[in-house]
Amino acid sequence: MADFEPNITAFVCTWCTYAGADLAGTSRMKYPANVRLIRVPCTGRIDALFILKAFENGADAVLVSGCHPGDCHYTSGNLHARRRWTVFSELLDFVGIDSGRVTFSWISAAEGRKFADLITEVTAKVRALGPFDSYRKMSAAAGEQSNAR
Amino acid sequence: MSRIGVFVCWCGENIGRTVDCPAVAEAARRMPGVAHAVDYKYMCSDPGQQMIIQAIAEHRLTGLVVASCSPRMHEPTFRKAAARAGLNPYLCEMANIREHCSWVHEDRAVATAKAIELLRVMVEKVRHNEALKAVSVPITDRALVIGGGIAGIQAALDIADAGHDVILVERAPSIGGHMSQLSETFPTLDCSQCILTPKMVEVAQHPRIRLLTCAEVEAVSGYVGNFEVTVRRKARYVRLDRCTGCGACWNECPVKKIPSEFDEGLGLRTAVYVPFPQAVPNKPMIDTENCLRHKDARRKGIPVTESKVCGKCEAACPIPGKAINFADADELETVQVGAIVVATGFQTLPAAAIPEYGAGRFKDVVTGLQFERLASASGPTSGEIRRPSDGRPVERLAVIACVGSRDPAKGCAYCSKICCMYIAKHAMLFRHKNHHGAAHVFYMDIRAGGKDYDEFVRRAIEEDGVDYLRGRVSRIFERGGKLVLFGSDTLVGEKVELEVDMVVLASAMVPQPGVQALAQKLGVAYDQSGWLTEAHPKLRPVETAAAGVFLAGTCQGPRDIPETVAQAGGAASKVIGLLSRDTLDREPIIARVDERVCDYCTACIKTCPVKAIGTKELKNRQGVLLRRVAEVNAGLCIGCGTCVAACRPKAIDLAGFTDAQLFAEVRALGDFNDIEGRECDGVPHFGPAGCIAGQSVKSGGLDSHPTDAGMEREKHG
Amino acid sequence: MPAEGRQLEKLRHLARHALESGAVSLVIGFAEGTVPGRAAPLFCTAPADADRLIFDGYCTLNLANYLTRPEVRAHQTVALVARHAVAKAVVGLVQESQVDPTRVRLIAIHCPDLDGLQQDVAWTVADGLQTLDEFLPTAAHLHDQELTPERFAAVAQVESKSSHDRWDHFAREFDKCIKCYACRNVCPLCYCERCIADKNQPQWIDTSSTQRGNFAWNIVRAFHLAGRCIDCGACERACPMDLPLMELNRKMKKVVAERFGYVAGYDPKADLPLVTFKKDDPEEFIK
Repeated sequence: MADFEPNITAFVCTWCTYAGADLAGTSRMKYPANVRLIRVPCTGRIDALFILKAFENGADAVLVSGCHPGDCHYTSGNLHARRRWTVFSELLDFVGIDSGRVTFSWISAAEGRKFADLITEVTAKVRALGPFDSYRKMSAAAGEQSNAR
Repeated sequence: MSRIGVFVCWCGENIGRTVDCPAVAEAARRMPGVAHAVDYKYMCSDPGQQMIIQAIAEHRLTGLVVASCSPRMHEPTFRKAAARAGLNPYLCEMANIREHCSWVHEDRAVATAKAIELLRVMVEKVRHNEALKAVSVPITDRALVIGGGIAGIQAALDIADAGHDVILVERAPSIGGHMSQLSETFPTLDCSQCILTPKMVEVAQHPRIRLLTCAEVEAVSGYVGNFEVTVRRKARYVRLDRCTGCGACWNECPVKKIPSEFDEGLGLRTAVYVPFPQAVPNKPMIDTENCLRHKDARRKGIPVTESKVCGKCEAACPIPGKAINFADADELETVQVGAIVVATGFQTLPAAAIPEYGAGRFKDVVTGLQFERLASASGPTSGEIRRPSDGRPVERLAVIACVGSRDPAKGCAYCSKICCMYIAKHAMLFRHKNHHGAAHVFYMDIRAGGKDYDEFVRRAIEEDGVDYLRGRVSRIFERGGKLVLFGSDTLVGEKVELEVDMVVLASAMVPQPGVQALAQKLGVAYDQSGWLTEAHPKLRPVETAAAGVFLAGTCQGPRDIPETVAQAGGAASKVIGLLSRDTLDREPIIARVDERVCDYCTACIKTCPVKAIGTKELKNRQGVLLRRVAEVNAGLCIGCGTCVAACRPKAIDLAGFTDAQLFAEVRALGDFNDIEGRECDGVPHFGPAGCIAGQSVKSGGLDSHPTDAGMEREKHG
Repeated sequence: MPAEGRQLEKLRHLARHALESGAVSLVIGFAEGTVPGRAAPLFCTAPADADRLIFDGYCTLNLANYLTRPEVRAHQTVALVARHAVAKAVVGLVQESQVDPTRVRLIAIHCPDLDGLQQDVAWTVADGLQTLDEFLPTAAHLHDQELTPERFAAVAQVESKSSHDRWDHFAREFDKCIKCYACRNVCPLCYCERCIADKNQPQWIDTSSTQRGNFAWNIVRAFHLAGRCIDCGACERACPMDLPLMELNRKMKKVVAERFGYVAGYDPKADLPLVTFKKDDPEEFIK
């Protein structure tokens, strides 16, 4: 697994985490190149469907991040998101998706360091977990046999 | 079919050093839907923008992706360039290959590969972008100011002076607020009434200000520029249009021993009363709790107009036709305004919350506001510091700072900010009035940041000989007509026992009761302590998350008079800026409802942080209600998209960040190892899930829902 | 069973009287099915129809499901033969503005336990037609049975497995799914006119019965019912492939109860847990 480079899809809010990633860039912090950010206005916009679709499209892990409670540009989008994530993360764990495959975080516009550190940490963890073959190999065509794990 | 132009920026060396920009442009040319791709040293430069503008015309581009810096930096630049070329600005997106790529990765091959993917994501997004139009909403040129303390007064005057109509709503019978109760003000010791009352009179006389006292906001609907506010005008039982404020009624009123609210319970008033001599309007109201006729009517369960008890005020009223009006009743009035300033102020922590210091139990333990009344020349003791219990002069005074403040157990984790200054003032005023008296101050820290503030505290200590003891008082009890304080002096490290005549508690500032209910009506957030929350703690200090609603004064948190006045001016200038325009343009990043799909489960209505979603009734031609659906108020929606994620059938979507766009972005990341676009039957496809275009056509046939079929046609049409 | 016979007479009498008096124009209950041990829904519009009503432990359909159908909505006021789970579903529908509580009456059937689905269950009919508000206090005591460990035995068994084994378990179960949507059709809270599973452009859930499509469908359905599912079990009973759907739904029920202190089906005025929040909601899983 040494050569395995994970694909990580991130959904981030534009006001905090996207800006935090900008700050990490402006500060020239280095972190692994495995994460692709998809920008949304608010974590409240992030749908559980996005996470499933990212996995279907070959993501080995998903990162979801936004403003800390109290910092939300829209006051409470992140607090609604938190409830959804609470339920959805438990659901994914229940059906056997390793909790290391979905990371939730709060990263503010000032936390460039936290962003860089988190990307480094998540990438290392997913490297250790290996490719998400069990999801990727689920058949996409009718009639194929299950070969999960 | 999309014709997308891709513009890859070198940003000088910033991107070009780590990312192979020509290779990115080359990869872009092979991406589906891309009609034109170039790289250039500085896309944001004038020649760079010209290059974009020319390409839009030359290649008949239907969308743009600029791969350069963060959209937080130059999105407005490139969108404006697009608009100059006649392309809808919302068809332009940016791929961030600088902050998120070249600056954070070192390996050129890795960074280039990532840049291509980031670009691909945005190309896929732009293929699903739509032309959007800024939402234009008309503005009602009138402001509502809630609260008639110094904050509300200042805001109302500033707005009105700029030529806009103002409605000032005050709950009490007079404007003036807490500032009118103060004796002198720190750090200059100028008389509070002397500087405030001219402003109060100005409010009353201003042709553009409509003053509604004894009034409260009942309901708020609408949105920025177009609020509809219902105001409850409480029965005053005095006709303001007739009353001259002559005083005949209150001189005759037989109920004379009611504790005066204005004097913080230390003075007395009648049942028909003017709260204080300089009140604006200087006209009385009848206190129904204590008025004999009202009491009689309540006891008998009859309308007050049918009671024959007392009525001396009415009899004494010299006005022809009488200004006293027992038939008065609450009225609801609806007003239209374009902007709202909330200036509801504060109250001090109620005595019940501070049992350990005997507030409310020991008469000579007074609050800071009570001391203000005792020190005031217009107060119940005409400015002499006397004990409320026996009226004897005070020889020894103790002041306790941080009573409730900075104490999470009392629900006030914050510093009340003004106390350090006013306790210095209290001790100083006491020493000025009683040269032989002694003043002791128990404090935790002295926070005297502000112009001439620290000097003021030093003056209290050094010139006026106030004894500052650093430590807390643990308890207070009565002994032989005096108050005994147990405390500590932490600087000396000793216990202190002190016998004094009076104790002043610098109790914490807390929000006005009911302000949370008001905030909910307005869609304004408040913190755990109940203070209203500004839109941004640093950069948008007077705005709120609810567009068109602004904050002034202590409703937002503890602050002193100069800060309050400055903030009120700031709020007023925001209101003036808003009302000076006829219409308001808002970002079209707003939610929209597909009425055909909406089941009216109300999840969106309940999750919307700004109450921008309401109900629309779909009726047939006969006016019969068919069903209800959610409806987004474009003027109010702030575009967070929380509703979209809450909507199970996806009947609601967010322009600029639609489901289709985000789906395309996720799909664009499909299978990183197979990123080269391939051709299949002339239709591009990639990723493990097969041909994108092929799939949408296929499933479009399976799906019978008209919405999707319609959308399909729009997309390909 | 004379006691039961008396209850049935009472049930029929209430239904008949409700229609005769004009209090309602439709009573939805059960009639004998075509096969022994099966009951079929019965829509009574004439007083005489009430004579065909039955009730027993086989009457498992959640009749609240019909309230959102256009044919039923056309009636001004409707009465339901309602065991507890049916009433809970009505509460959910009221919370989501799908049903006007003033237009629903319950012929409440009380069973000693929450489900009342055993064949020989002892049941009684409440006196008189009830509004939802009148009914709720009479069933409040059943709230205590919602979160008993026995109810979550299957959930606990799955939880005790390793993550790997849980994946295998559900991969095996989801693989059986034939996307017939029987679960959706019998669920009183799956009332969306256009289900997300039927949406394309974009198509979030693969409509065909592939492993991926089955996984996405079953996960999304459980998520969409989180905090809303009233634990009636209709979906699992309806599933022709015997998917353990209540493992998912009860897991969600457990999470919502533990995290947000909410049990669906008791308070028509409460905000559903996923359309509200508390500032101090737990967030230990967020980095």
